[in-house]
Amino acid sequence: MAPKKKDSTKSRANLIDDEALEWLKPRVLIKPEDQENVPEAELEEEIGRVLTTINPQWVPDEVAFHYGQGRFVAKSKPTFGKAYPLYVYQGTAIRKDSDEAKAQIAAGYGMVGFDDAGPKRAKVKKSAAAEEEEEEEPEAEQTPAEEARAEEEALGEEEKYEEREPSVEPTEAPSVTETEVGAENAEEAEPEEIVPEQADDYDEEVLNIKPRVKKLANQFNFCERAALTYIYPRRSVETQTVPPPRANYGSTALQCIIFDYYQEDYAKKMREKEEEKPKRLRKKTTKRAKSAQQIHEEQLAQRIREAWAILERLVNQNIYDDIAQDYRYWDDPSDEFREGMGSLLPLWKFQFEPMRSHAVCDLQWNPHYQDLFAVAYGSLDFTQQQKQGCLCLYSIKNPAYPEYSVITESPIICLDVYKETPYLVRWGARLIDGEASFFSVSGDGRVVQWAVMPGELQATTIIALRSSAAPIAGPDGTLINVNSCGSCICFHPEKSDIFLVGTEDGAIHTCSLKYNRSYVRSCQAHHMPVYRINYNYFNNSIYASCSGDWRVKIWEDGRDDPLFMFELGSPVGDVKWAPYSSTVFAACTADGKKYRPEWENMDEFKGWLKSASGDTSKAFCTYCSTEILAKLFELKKHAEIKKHKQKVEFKTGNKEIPFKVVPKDHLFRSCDESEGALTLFIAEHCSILSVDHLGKLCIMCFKDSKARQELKLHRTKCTEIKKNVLMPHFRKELLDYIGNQKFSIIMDTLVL
Amino acid sequence: MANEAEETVRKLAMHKGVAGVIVVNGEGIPIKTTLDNHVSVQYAGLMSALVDKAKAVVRDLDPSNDLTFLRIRSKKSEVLVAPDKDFILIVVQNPTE
Repeated sequence: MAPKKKDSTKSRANLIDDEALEWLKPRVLIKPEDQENVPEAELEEEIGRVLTTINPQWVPDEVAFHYGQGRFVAKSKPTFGKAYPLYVYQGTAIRKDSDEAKAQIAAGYGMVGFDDAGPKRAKVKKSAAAEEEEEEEPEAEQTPAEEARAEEEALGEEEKYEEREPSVEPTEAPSVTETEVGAENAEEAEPEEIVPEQADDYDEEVLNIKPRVKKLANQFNFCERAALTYIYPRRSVETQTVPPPRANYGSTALQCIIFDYYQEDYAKKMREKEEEKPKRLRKKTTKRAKSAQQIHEEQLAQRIREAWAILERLVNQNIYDDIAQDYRYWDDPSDEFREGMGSLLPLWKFQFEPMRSHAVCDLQWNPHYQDLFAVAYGSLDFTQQQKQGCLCLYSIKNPAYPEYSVITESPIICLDVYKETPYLVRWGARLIDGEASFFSVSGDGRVVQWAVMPGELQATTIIALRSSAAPIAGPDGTLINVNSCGSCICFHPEKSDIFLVGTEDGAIHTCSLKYNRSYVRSCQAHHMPVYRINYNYFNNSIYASCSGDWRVKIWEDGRDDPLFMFELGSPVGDVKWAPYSSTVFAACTADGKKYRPEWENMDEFKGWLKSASGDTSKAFCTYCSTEILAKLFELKKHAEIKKHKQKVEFKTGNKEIPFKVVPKDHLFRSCDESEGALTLFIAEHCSILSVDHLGKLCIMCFKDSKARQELKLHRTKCTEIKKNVLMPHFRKELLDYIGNQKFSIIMDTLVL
Repeated sequence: MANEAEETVRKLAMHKGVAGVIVVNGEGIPIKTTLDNHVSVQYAGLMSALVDKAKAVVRDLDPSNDLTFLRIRSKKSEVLVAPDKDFILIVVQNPTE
């Protein structure tokens, strides 16, 4: 029976394998050719298979031929009650009271757990079932399914029932065979299974007492299940997207940047706070906010202006660095040899290009800013008045350009700076001192107080200057009172109502604001216009005046005669007391000669430099016959000119013989007269060329003449005599002749 | 304003030793110059970089402080720079002899 079982299970295993591969290929049943044809209906017919105790194959009256007796004999009936093992299953349980179990328990095995019990128990079991199995298994393996048939026939009718199985199996569904086998298993297992369970119960009761009891493995204790699912093939799919745009950003967080952000944040918070305020208040701010752009622009402009100013200062600082460094210590060693005189170092030159042709009429230092002074540009030439004037504020830090300049419509003669508010400057045609108002004195003989009102000036006439001169008869015979023309005004340093007025006719009037009818006192101080009056800083009763009559006079209040009188040899334009001493004053005169004769002896100018006739501000180059501004710089520049150099080369190369200048009183030479006569002859009758020979001819002809010995007359000398001797003489003669009469000139071209 | 600026540039350029005046706007572009174009551009670029650096130095030492002026004196010339956040004024001056 056992080999049969093995076979069937084996075939079942094959089937399962087939089933596993079922999804791969459709099952094709191959029929053997000699297979009996069975109609479909029969094939489909269900044949119940029930295990019965009666063998359905058994034939009750079976006979067989008995060769010994020589006749048919009924076969003996099979004996019932004999057990045929249909299926042998090696269970895991063994009877407790069996020898084997006893042996195991004795060895301590009975208590082991399921896991480690496996192999050991199998060993033990082997000892019991080894003989059976080991003998049977090789047989079963050796007999293939078809060969087994023959054997099975011999085994008897009961086994024929089982014999059908292999043939049926392939055709029937595997599930059927399984159930069949399962049923067989169940049938055989049942009687055995019950036993071990009972044994287990016993076991537990007994074994519980034992200290080292392990439960025997059974279905309640342990269950292990495993399932293997299909392993799906792995697959990986990759795609690449367009890389997202990247940018590098770097920045440094300096302390100042952090500080700025904090400031910004703070300002923002303040703004937010502002916005939280009631609307009424906010309206004002919005109005202001409208002009935020303007404010920004103004600030920008202001900043640019400041930056420019600083730049200009720096540029100037670079330019005038050396002067600034050493002007305090400048000392001209040659001063020691000049008695009563000294030389000055010009430090800065202030020039304002648009006002080039104007005269500087007044200059005043700012009492507060020590480097600042105001300059009034006007015109002192009253016959040719300039149309414009200019007020400039210069700083000695910037000689190149005025800090501030105002072009006025009329020339400015005088100016002053407020002492209380140093930034205010007063000016005007003929103006002077005051408080919030200022006073002016003008050529029409009036002293006027101007009150400075917003937008206008209010004039009040303080006094009209009357002249002491007798009324003059006008063209129509009426007598006109002539006012004297005021030229300067000076206030008393302490008595603010007293002031002095200098006039064009040389008088100085002491006036008071309180009496506008007459002068407090008056004196004829000068013969020419009084240009300036200045009070002494230390003694209020002493004042100095200067005038066009070349004199500076020092006066004391209440005296008609001056204390001192200085004659300076030329018109005195200004006088000023020294602020540090009561006895020193400075005056400036109009004799400022610019051309210096000592230049002629300088090596670079020797030979060609002369003073220009009639103009001290100009020099004359005899080589180029041109006038040059009489400044050392200009002269040097002229000496460098190519044209001039060429001429110098030419002249020096030709070795001009210098005429000796003979002093006038030295000797009157006897030949002078004859030379003059000969020149006159030449001038009147013939060309100058002939004089070269005429001179020699005379010497040859008049050998007995005394004058002959010294006579020397050529073209050059002749020209000079003509120019310097004859021409002035005849000119004077002619002028005397004409006198005041009218005359006309008739010229003959031949003479020329 | 523009007129005034022009006047100032002219005035400054007339000073003795002044080789050039450059006005650079906030972006570092020279907007007014008395020098050659490429020289001005070079000055503007280099100076704005230098001004930024110098400003960072001053501000880093004391954040409430600020750079107001820069003077670079070299063997050949002196560069005066007035930096501001909205503009840079540059004057190149040759020292007096």
